[in-house]
Amino acid sequence: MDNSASSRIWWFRILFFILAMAVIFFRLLPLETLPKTWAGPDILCALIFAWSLRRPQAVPSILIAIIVLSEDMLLQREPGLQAALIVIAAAWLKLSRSYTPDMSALREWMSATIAIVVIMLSTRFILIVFFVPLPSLSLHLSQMIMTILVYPIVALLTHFVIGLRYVGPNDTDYAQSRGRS
Amino acid sequence: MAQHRGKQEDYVTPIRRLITAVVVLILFAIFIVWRIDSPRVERFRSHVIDQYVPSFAWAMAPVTGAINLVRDFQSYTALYEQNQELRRELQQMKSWREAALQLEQENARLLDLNNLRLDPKFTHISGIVMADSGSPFRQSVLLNIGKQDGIQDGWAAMDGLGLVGRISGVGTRSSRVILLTDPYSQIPAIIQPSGQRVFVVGDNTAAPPIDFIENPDLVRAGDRVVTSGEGGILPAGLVIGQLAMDPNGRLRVRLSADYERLEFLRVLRDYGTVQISDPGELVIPQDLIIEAPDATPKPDGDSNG
Repeated sequence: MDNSASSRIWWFRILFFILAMAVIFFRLLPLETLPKTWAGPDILCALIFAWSLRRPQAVPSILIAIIVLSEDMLLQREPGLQAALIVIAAAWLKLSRSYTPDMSALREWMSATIAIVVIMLSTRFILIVFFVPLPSLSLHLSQMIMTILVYPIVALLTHFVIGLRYVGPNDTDYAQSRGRS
Repeated sequence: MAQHRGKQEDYVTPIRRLITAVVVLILFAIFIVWRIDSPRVERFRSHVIDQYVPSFAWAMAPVTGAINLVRDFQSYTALYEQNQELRRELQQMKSWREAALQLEQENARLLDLNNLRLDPKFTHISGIVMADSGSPFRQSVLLNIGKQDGIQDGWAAMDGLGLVGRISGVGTRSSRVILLTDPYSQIPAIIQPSGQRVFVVGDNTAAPPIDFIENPDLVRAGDRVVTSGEGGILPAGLVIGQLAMDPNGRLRVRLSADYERLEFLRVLRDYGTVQISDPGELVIPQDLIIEAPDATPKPDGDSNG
């Protein structure tokens, strides 16, 4: 039992890594070379938050850091900044989930929203402090709103397609998800 | 049983938090290093991209092709109107073609009279667009040609119609083209026929605005904008686009290059561009630095002795 549960966590981790790489791959495809007036959602961010709230064991901080840092590198962003903020936000989400094990869907969405908004604000703040040119506010805002809106869809998809649901106190892997790594 | 697990949690959780803290610190350190020594980290970045993105090219090309196919299929619904429009455009084009042919003949005659030879350094290398920047905040594309094809930083990339951008970041098998629409792109240009020197400054819109114009009264919408070649940044005389005025009265450039679909780009060989290898050279060019009197002793003798 113990062995199979921990190997399942490893499968989830590998699956998450593959999913994240697929998201980055599709963003890199040269489909739209004309600048847009609004930005699409940051699906990877929503995916990370959904998994940290639903199966924290499957997304350890190191994995998140590796994925987002490589995304930073590939997408010409300031390397490390977005990665650091997302790791902090994901850690906060995991912590808040461990205090309220039976979180309602609305509450889950609220926590993710807070995390997304705080990330956007602190990105702009840090860029100002370090004298880095800011991305345009309308683009940044539209990306934030789209990410918030896409979160429930990502959460539902991971719920139904991958079967990543809440691990409640009555479930068999509950102890697994809380206790061991 | 539950208590037993609770005890286990007590020593696992602090370790996990410690790891998270260390990871966050490392990431912030990377950001600060990038801020201090940007050229080196950017070189590392182009190396990373060079390692990974070309190895996915086998998957990228077919997927892009398939998605474009589906999109084209959707646009078949508007086929009739498109056809009509194309016919009208073709009519206009025919008259222009006639004019162009006559001009070409005249030009050839004049060149022959002057015994003029075109600059041989403007040969080009064509590359395929592999990937774009992936981020809505940056506008760039990745080409499948790099150092092994002789590409250098600062060269101009064109499509058949006009300037698209300039090379910034070269790997062995790939190179990045910063498009004119990128917020970091600033290209010195000249407006013809008035000869006003301006900068075409990208701002993440399809038509980049122009800046530092001396006398806006001398120019009007429809004037041609070409590169001026100032500061050795790009070769002079490459077509950028036409001047246009947006509803707010700001002058913008309607780009000649077809940004809708960048598939192939040609990169002009130009060995006269300025190489930037140090952040200091951005501020003071190398040939302007006056050598200080040599006060430092040579380290060679010390290391041998």
